[in-house]
Amino acid sequence: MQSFSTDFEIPAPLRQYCDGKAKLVIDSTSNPQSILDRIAAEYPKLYRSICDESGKLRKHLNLFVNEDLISGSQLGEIELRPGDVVGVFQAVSGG
Amino acid sequence: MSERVVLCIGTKKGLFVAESGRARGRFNLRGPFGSGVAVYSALIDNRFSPVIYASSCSPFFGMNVLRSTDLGNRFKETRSAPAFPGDDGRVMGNIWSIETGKNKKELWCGVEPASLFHSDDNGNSWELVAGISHHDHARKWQPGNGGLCLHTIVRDGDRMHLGISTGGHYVSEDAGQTFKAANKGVGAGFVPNPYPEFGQCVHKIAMHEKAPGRLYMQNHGGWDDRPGIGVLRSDDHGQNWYSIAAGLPSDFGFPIVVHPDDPDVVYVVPLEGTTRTCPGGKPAVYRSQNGGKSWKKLNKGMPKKDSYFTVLRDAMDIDRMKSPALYFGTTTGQLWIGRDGGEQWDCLFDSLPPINCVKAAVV
Repeated sequence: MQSFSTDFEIPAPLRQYCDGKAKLVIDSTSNPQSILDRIAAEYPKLYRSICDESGKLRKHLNLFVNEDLISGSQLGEIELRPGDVVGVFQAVSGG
Repeated sequence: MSERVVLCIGTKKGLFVAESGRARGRFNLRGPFGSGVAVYSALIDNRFSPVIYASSCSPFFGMNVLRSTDLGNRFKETRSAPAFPGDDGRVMGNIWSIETGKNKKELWCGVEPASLFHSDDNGNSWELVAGISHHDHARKWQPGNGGLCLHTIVRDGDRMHLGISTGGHYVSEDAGQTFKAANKGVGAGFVPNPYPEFGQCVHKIAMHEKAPGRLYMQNHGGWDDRPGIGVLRSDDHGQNWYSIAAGLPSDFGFPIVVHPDDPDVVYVVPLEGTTRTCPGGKPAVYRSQNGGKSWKKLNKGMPKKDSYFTVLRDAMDIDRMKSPALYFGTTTGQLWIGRDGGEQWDCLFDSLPPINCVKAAVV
């Protein structure tokens, strides 16, 4: 399999946990779960803000690959391609 | 530097800190810290150089503990927040209580779903306390409207009292290693058995350090068919409880606070049981000066009508000045001060976000 890196976009409130970066370039990614695994190792507070103790995406966060919303069960199944962008967004809320 | 009174005000939109001189005339407000994120618990640990802790519980990004060593001018997150082990199956929903431990760097933390955590390094790392978190009863507790929360931690040397909604009162005699349910006389209006072994909806427990055997409890009252179970007292370290609700307009309420110099003086904020607002739209704090035998209404300076706020379980406190002042915050964002032990009330701030908790300290 070809090795490539994937851009992972960080929402503004969480950039304090990755040296203020708006984007991380994650090497040797195969699927979104592999990105989260890498973040867990390198940026544990960032990871804990995205996933709860059980390893699931937090309930009010949404993860996209390009413009496609990805469910938690798809994290290990979606095959990333060169040029894909993965991003985390807060769900819309009120109050 | 002369004495100052510091208030921590945890709100739906972050933590505010208010500070005043000893006269407690004008309070200067700063914040919000952890802006936009709800704060349900705060602690002003002034046993040594003052340190302020506050929970910051984001529905989006999870839990944090904020820490300030400069009286709340700046806050930093501790290195980690309480979290369940990955194989536990439970996920942190909220932080409801932060209390001091015996040692300088020691903290206890009550959370939702009802569990207890311990830190011995100023909140930088946390360990689940198995004695209560894995108690035989734990998987049988049920959430109330506020969630299944361990909200009250009262320490008395190696004895520790916990309040859980809805779990009841639990006590440890071995510094938090093991816990036993102690709910004899603590009623419940929402299950067939009016006095179950556990599962009560305890709202708050208060103790005075000079009389540690005596405890006061604001329990979930307001039941027409089971009157009087809402405001309780124990004289034997929580093994047996009895009602002290006679004379109150309602036995429903959330906070209960003891005077810093007199274990016989206790304060509650009665609320109408169905709406959880001030009975008849007329807010009042009630004070007993004889350990709950009788109660006096304290409402001088408060609205006399059309006032329907709620005061939540951690939203009332009392300072430790010679003539202590009470403070309570409302779900409508008002912070009230009751000078001279609650004889005269004034609204310090009238437009804060909904208030979850209020802590007062003299530093």
